[in-house]
Amino acid sequence: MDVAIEVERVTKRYGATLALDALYFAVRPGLVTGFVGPNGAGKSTTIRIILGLAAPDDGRALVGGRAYATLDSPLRHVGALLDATATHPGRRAADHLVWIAHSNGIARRRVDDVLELVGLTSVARKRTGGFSLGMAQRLGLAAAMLGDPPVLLLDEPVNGLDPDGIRWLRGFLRALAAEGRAVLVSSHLMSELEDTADHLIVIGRGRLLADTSMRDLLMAVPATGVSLRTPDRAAVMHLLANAGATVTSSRGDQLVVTGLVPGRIAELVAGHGYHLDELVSHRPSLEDAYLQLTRHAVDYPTSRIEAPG
Amino acid sequence: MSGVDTAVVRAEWTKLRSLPGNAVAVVAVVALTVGLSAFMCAVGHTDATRPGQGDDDVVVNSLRGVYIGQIAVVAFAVGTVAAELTTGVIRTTFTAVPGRRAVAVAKAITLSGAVLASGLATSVLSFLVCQPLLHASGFRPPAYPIVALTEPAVVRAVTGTALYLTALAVLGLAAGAIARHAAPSITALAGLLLAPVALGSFLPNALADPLQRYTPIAGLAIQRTVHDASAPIGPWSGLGVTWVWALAASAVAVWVIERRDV
Repeated sequence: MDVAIEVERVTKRYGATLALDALYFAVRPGLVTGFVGPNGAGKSTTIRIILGLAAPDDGRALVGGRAYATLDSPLRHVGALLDATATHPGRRAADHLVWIAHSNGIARRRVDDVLELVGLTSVARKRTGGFSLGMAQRLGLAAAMLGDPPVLLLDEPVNGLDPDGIRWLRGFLRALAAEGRAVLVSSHLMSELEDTADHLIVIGRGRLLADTSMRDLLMAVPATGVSLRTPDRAAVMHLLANAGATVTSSRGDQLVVTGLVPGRIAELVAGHGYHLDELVSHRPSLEDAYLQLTRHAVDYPTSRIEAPG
Repeated sequence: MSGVDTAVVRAEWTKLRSLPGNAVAVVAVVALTVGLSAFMCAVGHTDATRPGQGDDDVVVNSLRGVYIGQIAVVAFAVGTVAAELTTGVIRTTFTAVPGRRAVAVAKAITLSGAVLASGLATSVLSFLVCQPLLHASGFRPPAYPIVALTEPAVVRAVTGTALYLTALAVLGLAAGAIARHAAPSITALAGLLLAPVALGSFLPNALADPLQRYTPIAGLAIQRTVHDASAPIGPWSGLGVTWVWALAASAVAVWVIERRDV
């Protein structure tokens, strides 16, 4: 299977609102694919359409080349985590998994396996009404893993996890991808995916903004340069400008340099006998790249706040 | 109608029995319904030696708790489906079983089974508890001969009452699925069931009779064991009317849920 999920020019309207606008992308096996966009970008709607819960107005979504609704025992093909809190509060965690297992002819034994997989064995007999959001997310992941599926669709699984949980989830998702599964993880926070995703689908206002590997996205962002601090500010400014760099002076004794690599800057400054207090190279962050992509696609943009002075 | 998917029925049954509140509700409703029947039988009084007193139907009298039981059944059925819709569990259900009609059929089967079984228990208990109470209240031979549970008319009344409650469970399930929220569905159905009884004595026969004949409450005619020429509808026809309501509402519900985004 070359492509696990195909979203083909899917359009979805809610009244006058265009929730998805000819959205297209593919999700490949063996990778963690981050599915990012601002709140309201259409991530959950897309996932619900892939799962056949909502019908597109145009286009189609396929799982393993087939429409989800035509799959036999779909949980053996696709595991999904939607709203983790969507459990009946009066039902025990194990029973929640047992009915799901029954519906797809999955053995009862598997329920204990997935509870152990997500670390919920000790609360299997507890009612889900008493669960924290983090526990609910783990239960949702357990449900997604019941059918041992080759494709996983996880909508905001990081929500509500504590730092330990986030680290655990990261390892869990990486391991699933390493086993050759296709893992699609949505998030409205790029930073959550920074060390997890191999590939990114970025959407805004229902449209595809980027379909790129993590590395390519970082390379596409212009370098923000090198900042340095030196007591010989004026002289160093002159020196680096003559060497072809663009130098801007910010506050105090700090300079921001673009157009020269850090090693060359250090060599020049030291070679002329000037003193260097600090030299910091600015790697473009994923967050920067993301913000640049989605700047025009947020539903409720905040106004830029200018610092006084 | 697509075939019954046993895996889906099993899943729905697990859902139904894994909520401890459900078992409590069933026991409470059975107890309340039998209790109400017994109370009505105990406080009723007749002097069967006087002329013209022999036309009460002792079987109907002993099954009167159904007026409470029917509201409880509707509330339970609506609540079951509304809880699934409002908690969002329905998305998990339809992700696991994309065939929504199969889910609807499985829900109807499991809920019907539970209501039929508890409805039978309720009717049988009500009948057995009430007979000695009625006897003590003066419902005695010769005006009121002793009736046994095994008499055909009694069997029809007792099982028919359970089938009536089962139809209301299906009707409640459908109404809850269509309206999505418990309060409006329960209010509408309770009104539908209570209005003919509440208004019956105020309305002229020309209006009251059609209400008895064409609303779901027509099914209560199945409880009659004494021939009554003035009855608005016969026992089986009455039960049929209730089931027509239930099946028609189910057809609408399936049509709606197969088309609705969740």
